[in-house]
Parts: sequence; structure tokens; C-alpha cells
Amino acid sequence: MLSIIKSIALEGLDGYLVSIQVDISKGMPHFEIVGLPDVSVKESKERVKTAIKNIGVELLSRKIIINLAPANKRKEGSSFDLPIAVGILNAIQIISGDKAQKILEESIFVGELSLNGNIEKINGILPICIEAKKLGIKRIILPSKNAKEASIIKGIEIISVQNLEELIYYLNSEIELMPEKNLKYEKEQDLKYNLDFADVKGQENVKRALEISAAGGHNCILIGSPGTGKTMLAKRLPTILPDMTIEETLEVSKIYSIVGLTSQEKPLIIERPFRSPHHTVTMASLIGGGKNPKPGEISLAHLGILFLDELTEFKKDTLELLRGPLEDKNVRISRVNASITYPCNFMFISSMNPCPCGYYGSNEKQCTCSQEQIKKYLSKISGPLLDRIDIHIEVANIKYKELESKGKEEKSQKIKERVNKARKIQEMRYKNENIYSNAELTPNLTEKYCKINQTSKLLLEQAFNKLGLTARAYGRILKVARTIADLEEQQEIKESHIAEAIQYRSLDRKYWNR
Amino acid sequence: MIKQLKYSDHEFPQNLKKIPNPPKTIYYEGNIKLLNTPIISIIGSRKCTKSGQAITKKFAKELVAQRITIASGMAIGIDAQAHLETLKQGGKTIAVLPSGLLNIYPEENKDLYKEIIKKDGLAITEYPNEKQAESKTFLERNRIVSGISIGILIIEAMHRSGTSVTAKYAIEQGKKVFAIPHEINNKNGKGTNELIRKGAILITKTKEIFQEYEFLEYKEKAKKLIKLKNSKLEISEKRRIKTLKKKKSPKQENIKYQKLKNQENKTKNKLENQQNKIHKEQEKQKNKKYKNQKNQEHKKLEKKQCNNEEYKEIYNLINETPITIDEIKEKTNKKISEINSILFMLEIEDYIEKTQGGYKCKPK
Repeated sequence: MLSIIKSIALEGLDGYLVSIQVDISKGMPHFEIVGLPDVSVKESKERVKTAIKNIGVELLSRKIIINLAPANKRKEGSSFDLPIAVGILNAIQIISGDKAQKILEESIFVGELSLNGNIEKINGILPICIEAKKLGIKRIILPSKNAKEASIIKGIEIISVQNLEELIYYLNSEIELMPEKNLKYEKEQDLKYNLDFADVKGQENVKRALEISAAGGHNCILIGSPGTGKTMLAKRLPTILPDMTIEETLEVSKIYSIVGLTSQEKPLIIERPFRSPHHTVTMASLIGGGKNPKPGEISLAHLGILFLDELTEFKKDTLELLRGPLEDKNVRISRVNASITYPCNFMFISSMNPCPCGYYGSNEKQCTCSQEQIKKYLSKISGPLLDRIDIHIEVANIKYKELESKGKEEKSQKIKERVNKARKIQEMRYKNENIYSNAELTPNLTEKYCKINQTSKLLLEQAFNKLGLTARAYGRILKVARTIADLEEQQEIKESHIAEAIQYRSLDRKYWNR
Repeated sequence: MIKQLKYSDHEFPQNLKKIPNPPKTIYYEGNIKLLNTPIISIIGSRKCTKSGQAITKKFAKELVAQRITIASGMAIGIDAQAHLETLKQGGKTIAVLPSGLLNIYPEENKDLYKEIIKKDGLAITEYPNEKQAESKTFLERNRIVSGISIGILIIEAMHRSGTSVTAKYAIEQGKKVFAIPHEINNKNGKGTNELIRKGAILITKTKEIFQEYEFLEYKEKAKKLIKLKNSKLEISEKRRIKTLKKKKSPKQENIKYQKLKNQENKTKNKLENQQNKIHKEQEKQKNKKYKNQKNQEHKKLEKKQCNNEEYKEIYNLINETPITIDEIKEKTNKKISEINSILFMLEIEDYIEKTQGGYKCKPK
């Protein structure tokens, strides 16, 4: 007898419908899965057989053929366990009746089986649900551990089941399962972060730079001696970024769902992501990769922050990989099985020491590095990469007096309000340009939106001649000046804005020049 | 063009004849007459620090302004920096090589060598053209470095380095040895500190070098050698001088100045009017532009004066010891953004400079 069950498989962030066709006939006892199954799918054979046995259903010796259509696409993962089991149970008439037939036709099944018949959590439930809704499917039957995550999606009936027995009773209409209640996505007014900028004493200059960076979406590099608080400052950056919109939350959660970083307690990613991979990170884990390409760190930092601590310790080739994604805001990963595009629109924040010993430019300790050593150390960061970083800020030592003082440090919440305002201004200004922030301005648009008056031009020229700024600094300074003006809610870029913006180009001025 | 001079030749440099163990022949390229000018050698270790470089730059710049010729060994590090800065300031420099002139050592300084020759400098050695540099020649070279100069200035030296050998030769030859003091834990300064202990002259300012010589005179207001090529820069330079004079109601002065300028232009125009009408039109346009620019400068100046109090408040906080932006903020209660832009303005007007650990005022 033939039975057809529907399920959904994922390819990157998108899903596609898979129909699982189960045929049981007389003949030599045999169990075969066809339709390009991966090893993890082939193994489901054993899980399904044992689980069915353990819930007390006897599988007679028959010839069982299972086909996963479309048969030309390679399938992986354990989410086909449940539909295969349901197909077999339907084919041997354990699940039967008109009502059951109707439910089977209207629904899709996903879930992993354990040997005792329990249904386990799977990865990527969010994109699966989104795809199911798109295909106009009425109902999705999934593991109860995934229920909360799936219930974010409106307009589709979500039935969660704990084990196979329960499912059989439900399909045979012996018990009734209520669809999951829709989880309302409520924007909690103040997202509670454990960190706050008020924790950091002093360093007003750096805080200001990070505020500008957050307001305009500018990439930023922090340079300073060990122990000055570079990492501490960078980790607090998410607390002043604007809250994510519902669409953004879903976009990010989708990526996290695929990798399995969402859970029952935390079904949605509502905070902006902050990813800080260690400097031993491999190319594939940074960019994304694998036989069936999975998103890497840069995609997990989508709409959030990618923080690379000790930038010069990273392998040079690994860093160079960032060049494309930083520009395109997405990354295309091609492997034998598939070629997938993941989004990666992140803010790039990094930190580094000014020299190998770490104390060049410090007023506390003498630097012991020779000029050659410093040159070699800095050469690890290439010009093109540096080109994509708008703000360079030096982090100085904090004096003991400042640590002890109980001055009032500004709370993150206050800074965030200013950032939000500046972002709104930018959104309004660029509504026809298909960009959202000052950092994304192309040279053409920079000319259009960052007009400066004659005195400012003169000032810039003087600065270039005197401080030896490079040509690449020009556009960056204008963009940052635009953001500073936005923060002050000024229409025009003024002289003082330009002057401040030049202060944030210390690498052009100091380290990279002879 | 490589030339050579024998010890017996009449033109053989006098100062090299006087040293013990003089070279038998010298090979040179460039302006040999430089050897008759007052020469001070700036030397130091090859593995130099950034602060060492900064000191080299400072002294080279100031010595060039006093019309001193700078000699060095064209090695990497301090030596190369001394040559580079001298060339940058438009001064004359002499490179004493440890190898033949067709086999320049070190190779990465080949461009520097060409630049020195091009800018009317001198390269000199006692080795024939094809001779390779060896450990022996480095040490022998040092006696010529000290031999041609009236004194040597040692910026940075490690314990028992080649630089110390040069100092030894200098003492043998009766030349003065100047050394920059360093912090006692700084290994790049051990050599110079040792030399000072043994009697080298401790130097912190260029003026102190001049006090050691009766025949040299230190000019307080030495003119810069290079003229500014960029006209706009020149304007800014003028403006700077004006802003410095601000106390004497600079506004009036400036207006007078502009009036004079305008009158000049008018008379000029009249003359040219008779000569060529088309030419006149062009000139008018040019003048307009010039006036515009001048007006803007004035506007800027006026604006500055409005904010003068702010500028002064911050400028008064900055002294010889570096101060961080945080400290300035604490003392003035201004916004970081304001402080940042004011600091930049002060920096570009040459009142202050950015150094390790903050801002400090620029020595006048």
C-alpha cells in the first residue's frame, strides 16, 4: 500500500516541499530510502524501525521502499524521521480513516525520533514554518520542544506532539490536540542588558566615538595598550544600538534557528547579535561553509556586531575574506551540493595593540619595539581592509584617580536615545536611495548628501597637507562628519563637525605613516 | 660620477688628514665642498624606537635651520632618519658608506642614496667601487664619520654597540661627543647614558650644542630653508602670524592690509587696462577670487575671535606634560565633541601637538 506524507527541507535560509512516499508490499524483507538521502537521513531507517517497535506496533517482514521527492536534491538532517514513521504507520493501516487521511493531506510533518518513540527538537524550525506559510499549508505538526519558536508565525495551525503514540491517537481522532497559541511578539520596552556604558569609568572620548559609530553604522577600530578597556567598551556597544524591528528580529532568528541557537526559553533573538570569534577562527567558520553550507560568524552577526579582538593576531588570509562581505552585505558560499547566499549586514568592530609589546604611545610604560617590528606588526592589516573602517580611535590608559572617582557616567539608555534620533534622520533622508545609514553612502551619494562649505573645504585641505592624511581618508571624514551633524540634529555639516571627524582618523596620521 | 682623491692630493679634505690612521684614498660622489662646512653627525642604533626617530627628526630639523650640514652612516634606523629629515628640510647631508659606491649598503637605502646625490649632498667612502661591506668596514667607516664632523650627536645606542665605537674614535680625534639622555631602564638608551657617565655632553636642546663651540652662533629666529610651494599654505602661514599678533587689534591691521592690497590691485589693473582689455577681464576674475578668499579668511578670523574664550580656556590647560581628553573634559565641563574639534583647530594652528598619552603644547 502506498502513503504520501509532506515535509519541508531547508536549503540555506529557504525551504522547499518534500513529499515522502512510502510503499509497503509483499516480497523479500527489505528497507530502503531513495531520493539522494544523506548519511543522517539513511540512519533514520534504524531509528524509525526501533521507535515503531518500542511503542508496541509490530512491523511485519515486508518490502518497504521510501522515496524522498524531488529525488535530485540532496537531503540531510534528522527532520524526516517523523514523516517517514507516519508514512509507514499509515501504509500498514495503524493510522487510518477518512479524518486521518484529511489531516495527512493538509499537514506537513517535521521531527526527529528517539528510540523510545519520543519526538525530539530539530534545527531551523523558523524558516520551515515561514516556507510552509508561503506554500499555503494549513497545519504543521512538529516536536513540542520547537512549539514556542514556531508559534511566532501567524496564520498557520501549529500542533506540537511529544511522542509517536500521542500522534497516532491524534491522527485517529481518539484524542484532540489544541493548536499552539500564537506567541505575541512584544517589544519589551527596555531590553535588559547586563552590561551598561555606565560601568566604564572615564574614556569619554572612546564612548563618543562608539556613539558616532552606532549612530551612523560606521565600522570602528579601537587601538590601545593592554588593559585599557578596549574589549570592555566594545562589548557594551550593543546596548546603545537601536532596537530591532519585528522584521529584523525574524531575519536574525531565522539564521540562528538553522544553526540551532534558538531554544524553548529563547525562541526569538531580540537583542542585536554580538559575535566575537577567537582569533584562531577558521575561514569556513568565519564566512560560512560545509558540504551543505551553513552560515558562519559573519552571518550570525547579521544586523548586529562582529567584534574581532586583537585584530593583528588573526591570520591575514582570514581577515582578507571580510573584504567582499563588508561591501556587499551578503556572502555567497558555493560547494558541490549547493550554492547559498546568506545575509551579513554587520557592523565591524575590532581592537588591536599599537605594537607587538603593546605600549607604543602609552605614557605609562616604555615601548621596547623597534620601528621594523612595528611596521611588520601593522602590515598584517591590509590597506583595502583598513579602507572599510571609518573610525579609528585610540584608547588611553585610565588613571587611578578616575577609577576611584564616583563621577556620574552616562547610562546606555541615554546614549541610545540620541542614536535612535540620528538613525531616524538618516532613514528619512535616504528613503529614496535604498540605503539606511551614513556608512553605506557610495562616493556618488557622499557628494550629494555631504556638502560642505568653503571654509570647511579650506580646513580639510589644511588638515591634509599638515597631518599627511591619505586620500582614502577624505570620503570617510565626510561620512563621519555627516553622522556627527545628524547627532546634533543639524542640517548642514559645519566646520566643527569636520574637525571632530578628523580626530577619528588616528591610524592615517600616526601608525601607518613613516 | 664617482671621483677619487689621494692623500697626497691638494684637494684631500683637511679634516680627514688630521685624524690618526687617515684613509689613503677617498671615493666620493656629489658636492665635495660640503666637507668645508660645519658638520655634525647624527648617529644611533639601527633598531631604533619611534621616540628615537622623533628625537632625530627634531634635532635634524633644528640643526638644518642653523645651516649645519648633517652627516651619518646611511644605515637603517636613526641614520636613515637623519638623512631623510635633512633632505625634507632642504638641508645638505653627507653619507659615509661602509662599502664601495657601486655596491651600496644597505640595499633598501639605494633610493635614499640617489636622493642625497640629487639634492646636492655627498656620499663618501674609503673603499673602491666594487668592495662589499663587511663587519670590519663598518667599524673603520665610523672613524671617518667622526673625522669629518666637528661633533657627533648620539640619539640612541644600546650597550656596547657600533655607535659606542664611533664615540671612541671621536674622543681619540678630539671631537665633541653629544648624547641624549634616556630613562635608565630603556635598553635603547643604555649606551648613551654610559657615554654621558664617561663624560659625553648631555644634550636636551639644539642650543646646547652651539654653546660648546665658540665659532658657531645660535640664531634664535632662524629662517626655514624651504619656501612653501603651496600658495594656500602660505596664506595659512601668514594668517598664523597674524593670529599670534592678535593682541594688537588684528582686525584693524587686517583691514588696512586688505585696503593696501586692493589699492595695489587697482593700480595694476589700470595699467593693464590700457594694454589689453581681454587680459584685464581675466585679471578681474582672478582678483575676485582672491578677494573672496581673503574675505573668507576674514570671516573665519572673526568667527575665531567669537570663540576665542573657549579656545583660550582649553589652551591654558595644556602644558609640557601631555594631558588626555578625559582630563580636559573633567576640568572644563565641556562636551567631548566640542573639545575634540577645538583641539583639532589648535593643532592645525600649530599651538599644540598630539603625542604619547595626549596633547601637549608645542615648544615655541
